[in-house]
Amino acid sequence: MRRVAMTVLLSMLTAGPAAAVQNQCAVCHATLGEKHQAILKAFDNDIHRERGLSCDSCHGGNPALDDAAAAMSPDAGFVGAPSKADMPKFCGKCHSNPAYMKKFNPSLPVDQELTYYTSVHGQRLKAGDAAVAACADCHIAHSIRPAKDPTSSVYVKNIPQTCGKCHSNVQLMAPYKIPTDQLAQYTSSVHGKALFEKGDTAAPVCTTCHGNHGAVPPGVENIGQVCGMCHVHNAEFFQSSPMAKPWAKRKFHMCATCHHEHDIQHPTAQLLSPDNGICMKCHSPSSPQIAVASAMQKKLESIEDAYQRAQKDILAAEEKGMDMAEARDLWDASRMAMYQSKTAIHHFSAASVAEVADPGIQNAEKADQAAKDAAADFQNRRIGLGVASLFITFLVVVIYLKIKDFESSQG
Amino acid sequence: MNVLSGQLLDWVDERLHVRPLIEMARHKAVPVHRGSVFYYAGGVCLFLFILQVASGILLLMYYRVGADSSYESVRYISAKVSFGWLIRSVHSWGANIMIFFVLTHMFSVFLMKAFRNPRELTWMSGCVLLGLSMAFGFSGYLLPWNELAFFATKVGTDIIGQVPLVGHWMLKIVRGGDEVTGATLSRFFGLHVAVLPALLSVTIGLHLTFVQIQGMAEVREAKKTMPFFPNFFLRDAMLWLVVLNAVAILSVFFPWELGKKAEALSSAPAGIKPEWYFLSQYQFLKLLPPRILLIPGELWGIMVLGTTGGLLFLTPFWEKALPEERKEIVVRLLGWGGLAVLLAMTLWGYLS
Repeated sequence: MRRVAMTVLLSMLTAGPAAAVQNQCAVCHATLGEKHQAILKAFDNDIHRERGLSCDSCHGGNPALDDAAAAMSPDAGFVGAPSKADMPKFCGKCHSNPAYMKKFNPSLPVDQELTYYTSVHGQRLKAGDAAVAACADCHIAHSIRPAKDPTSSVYVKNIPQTCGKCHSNVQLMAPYKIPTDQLAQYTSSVHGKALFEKGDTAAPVCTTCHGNHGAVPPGVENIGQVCGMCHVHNAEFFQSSPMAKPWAKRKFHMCATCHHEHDIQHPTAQLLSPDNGICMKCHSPSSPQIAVASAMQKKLESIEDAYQRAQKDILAAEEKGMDMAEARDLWDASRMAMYQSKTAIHHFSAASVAEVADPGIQNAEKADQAAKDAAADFQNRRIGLGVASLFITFLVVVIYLKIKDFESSQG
Repeated sequence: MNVLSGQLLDWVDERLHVRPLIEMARHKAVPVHRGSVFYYAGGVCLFLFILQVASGILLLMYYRVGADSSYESVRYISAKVSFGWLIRSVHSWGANIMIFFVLTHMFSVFLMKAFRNPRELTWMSGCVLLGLSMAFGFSGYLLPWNELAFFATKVGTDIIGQVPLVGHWMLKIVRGGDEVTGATLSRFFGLHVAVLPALLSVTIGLHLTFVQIQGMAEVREAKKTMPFFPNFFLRDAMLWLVVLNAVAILSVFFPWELGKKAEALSSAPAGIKPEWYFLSQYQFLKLLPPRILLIPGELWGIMVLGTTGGLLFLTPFWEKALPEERKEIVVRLLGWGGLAVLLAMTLWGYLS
């Protein structure tokens, strides 16, 4: 059975576009044990093989020769498997060559090798640390798939696990003295939930903030820029707020100080609470800043409350079959105002929050009133229907009696 | 009072000669037997048509056709116009109930073999009325210009494109272009409020004239008759009132939803299906393989459905040609079998 399977595998490998002649690499390596067979099997699904490349495209040598020594001789251009230190250069042979890469995918960047050496991984590798990640650690040698392929190790949904493979490994990370709970924290964060639970592939993953080939931890001075790539207004409002300068002076993380890094949770108004809010970390309870935070919290709670009340009443009216399109428009506007109010918090001004929240509260209240009116209208409809039904029933009875009357006289 | 009405009748008769008609109505009789209840189905269809015309005229006062205004105006009718929600729901529910009664009427006439000589024209005009009612339903469904209507019309009109040689040309005529757009909406509107009402009114007039001339079909087991005026007419009126009340109840408790506005670029919502009276045909087309004997499956489907429609229309003629001893069983088998298949396919289409 196994022999048959290997024969099928070999015939598949040697029948590829690049295998005009029989691929002797596959023929010999198939007999070298399970490890080699697994490599051959994995390569069958590799993007490089799909694009017509074969073993010799990376490892050199002459796959047409059935003499192993001759096929894998330096004369035949054989380079073998690269060491970790040589790997970026090994892959970069093609991937850093724009003319060559254009033949396969003109939109694929060719700066991976260059940016890799700007990363912490690349710099450590250069310094002789072979334990760091290089190309094949993330892209999985011999079974490489394009990033847009859901089975790829670098597909957006698989990136946290790919990075976590090393960064959650306590033993591996011990020499670097860096935490290993990032994956666990990310998984329970608002971003992780969006990715894993809602399946939102637009949610940020490790590489969104840290970069991929040039992965570095964002420094204090640029963490705000990183978050601000998506949370544009939050960053902009913060930078123009009275908090920006003192925070920069104290070297506080612009966003992470309040929202943390990997375990970022959905922010609620409670974050501004004068009892146990995040502001209390720095400000005293009697300070004017806490009074501002408290006012912003109340405003946020007001709009959330008005929004939820309207939602409940609209749904109740819709269940009765009432048309709530107009109320929904108002409710949508209040939802937008609610999100904008949360963003406006970064002005650190109660007036700025109120400016956005107040129209939203009014819209939510109008939507709620429309829903209540609709519920009352439904009641009126039922009463009207009852009266009409009674009248119709009366007419039916009168006609029935009339029929009985003249049919008895007709005999 | 009697003197006054007598004088009024004389006045009208002098000008329009209505007395012979009144005499005819006075002598008109309806056979009484266990299937007599189905005689009321035709009257209910007429009542519902009148209700559709009345509610349709009211809707026309606010409806504005156009890709930018249809949905908005229907929304305005439902939300802002006094009793607009009621009129719209009555129109939508009335249309569905009317088609239900048209089908009931047709099956009962078929099973009572009332299509036989000399009522061939009554039957054939009835078949035309069924086709026109369904065309009314199909064209009216698009008019709110909502998501469901848009995609249902797209799928429905796609079928026309499958007709060999002239399919694409017919599709362009129906849609007013290659795709379902505002041009399709304008065409369907014109069809719905001008062409179809005119055709239906004329055909109803013919159908009723044929019924009056031929009278109701004699049924073997009918041992006695009932005067049409006032006995049958008042019973008809009672049922009309009950149907009106049923439409009102449905409109209040299950108002017709409007949904989202049609967006040509958005993807079709999941589980999109046509109206229930097209479900059996839709399910049949869905079951066909892509190709049968090198010919597209949908084309076979159209041919089968077209042939079935043609045979239904020509029932009085092929039934006449059947051997006497087989007529009864063939009609029963086709009538009940056809009804069972229609119900099963509709249910299958609904559940799948």
